[in-house]
Amino acid sequence: MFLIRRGLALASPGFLLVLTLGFLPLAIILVWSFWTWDPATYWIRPDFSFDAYAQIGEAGRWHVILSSLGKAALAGVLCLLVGYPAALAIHFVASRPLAFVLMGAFTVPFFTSYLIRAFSWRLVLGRNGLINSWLLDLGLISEPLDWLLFSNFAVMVGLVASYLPFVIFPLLLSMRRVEPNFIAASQDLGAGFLRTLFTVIIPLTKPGIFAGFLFVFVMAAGSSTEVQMLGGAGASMISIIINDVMRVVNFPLAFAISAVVLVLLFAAVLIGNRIFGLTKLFEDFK
Amino acid sequence: MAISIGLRGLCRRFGDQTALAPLDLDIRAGEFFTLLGSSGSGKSTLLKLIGGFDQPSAGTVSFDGTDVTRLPANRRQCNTVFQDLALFPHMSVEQNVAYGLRVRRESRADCAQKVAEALKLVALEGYQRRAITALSGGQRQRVALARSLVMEPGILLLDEPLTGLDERLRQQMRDEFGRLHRKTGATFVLVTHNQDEAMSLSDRMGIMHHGRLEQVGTPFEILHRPANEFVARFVGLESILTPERVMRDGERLAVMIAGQRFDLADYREAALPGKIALRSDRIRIVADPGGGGLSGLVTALQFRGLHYECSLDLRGAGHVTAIIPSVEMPRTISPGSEVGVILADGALVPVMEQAKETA
Repeated sequence: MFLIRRGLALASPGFLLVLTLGFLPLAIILVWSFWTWDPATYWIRPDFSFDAYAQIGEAGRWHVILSSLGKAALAGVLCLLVGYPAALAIHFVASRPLAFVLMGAFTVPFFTSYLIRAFSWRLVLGRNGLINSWLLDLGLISEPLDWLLFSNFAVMVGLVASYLPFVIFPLLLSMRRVEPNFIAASQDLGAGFLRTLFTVIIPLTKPGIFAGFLFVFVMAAGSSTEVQMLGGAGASMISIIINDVMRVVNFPLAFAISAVVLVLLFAAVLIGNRIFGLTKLFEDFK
Repeated sequence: MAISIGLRGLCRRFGDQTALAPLDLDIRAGEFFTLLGSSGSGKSTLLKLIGGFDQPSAGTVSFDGTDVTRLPANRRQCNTVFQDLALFPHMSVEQNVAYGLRVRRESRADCAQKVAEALKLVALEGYQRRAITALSGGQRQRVALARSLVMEPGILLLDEPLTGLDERLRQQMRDEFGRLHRKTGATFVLVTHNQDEAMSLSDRMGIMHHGRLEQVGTPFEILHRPANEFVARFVGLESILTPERVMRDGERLAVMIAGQRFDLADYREAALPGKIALRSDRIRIVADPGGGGLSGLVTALQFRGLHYECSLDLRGAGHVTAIIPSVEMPRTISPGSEVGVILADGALVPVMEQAKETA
């Protein structure tokens, strides 16, 4: 009992930090979403009103929220499809110095600004971009493909490229927890590589898969740069509509949208944890 | 059906480190063969090469005379029980045991029946639905055995499977291995550093040291005719002397130690031993220095419960350790005492290492 209390005491600065930096802002957002606009002070005043929540349904905002979450989920899945083999290569196939180089290759883009990263895709996907000029040179197409840029396709390319490292690192973490002998045992019992991959490696890396998906999903759901730089004229995202309502000083609505998205994301985390055991990533298997 | 193993010039190097020096070895079909050695002796490397988990730097592995050196592990007719067992933690006992059968695409009904039989073999009937994490160490051990045995392998490789079990369980599982070997008739290759295991289970054993196979033989041969000083020490013959002379006398071997002759009956080896080991439990001491064959000085005396461990300096002939049953220990003896040393029958063990050429 004494030890537990002492443990709590030792951990209390950390707890305090998490509470003030993590939970306090969220709590404020939640509280303010129920306040109402006060024209007298040009700010919001304490209230308990659901007006802001009612407004979410207007102007097709639900559609943007849901399609944002849809795009974010798709980005998460695509990142996993690209990132899993990459992580597998780094973990199992590559020798140590090479693994370091490969990991570096996935990290270096992060040293540049996300604006520049998104912008550089314009040079690749644009009408006169790399891909179109190659395809034209090869004679595969007679005129440039228009759907490459300023489209959902381009947004998805931008999102996947931006957030790929966020699936690779949790995957690597979970793969390190797969004992090499599990793979040897599977082989020993006659299984080839693919069979081992699907019956042993993937099930044992589920927490990493979910963690990676979650990182990408959450960040893509909150992204705006990729959509603004690469999306079409009508493309919108949650953060863009929040920005729009903030510009017309409708703070309660901005907070309400944030609160709804928060609740949806928390629900996704909790459900996912129930199914995939996210916390196992940080536990010791015994 | 049991499969024989043939190794020819097999070796494994990592960079300029030699994990396994080139060796030739034949393991007969249905034999219980033990590779005994301390850690880093190359025994696990050798087992990996047999199992197909590693590729040799040179040499070949053949099963029943067919070269399998390039065959990957999943296509070799052998199964391994790993040191850490490597049971799949996300599967139940049944799923673990049935894994190899499912890979072979056997029907669900066949799988269920074979799993039930395999679990019965290792005395775990009715454990099908249990989670691996809910089992004790000994039970996991049995599941790992069942998972390999259900494949009806021609060769079963056991990589120190008893390490990490407590002493009681260890002995229990050791006896289990012997029973399962007789029951399945497969070729068993056990890697261990525990000589009790090796002695009590093996038909033949190989003693490994620094990546070399020092001696191959039955436990009896190794205990009675160790090939060299290392083997002798490894099997517990710690007291090794260099005799003044060894000579053949008919079917007897005569050994001169400290000017006295000792005889060893039934010596039929072609070569003469370079050294002689003394079995500690066959050495007696008496309080009178002149009362025995040899005389010595007690340098240390340690009480071990059922017996005393007595270090003796045999006056120029060397140092030996005697194990004296507590009830037979003369009361007057203490470190510094001059005592008589008697070598009882069977005390002498010839160490077959050739004597170093003296100039």
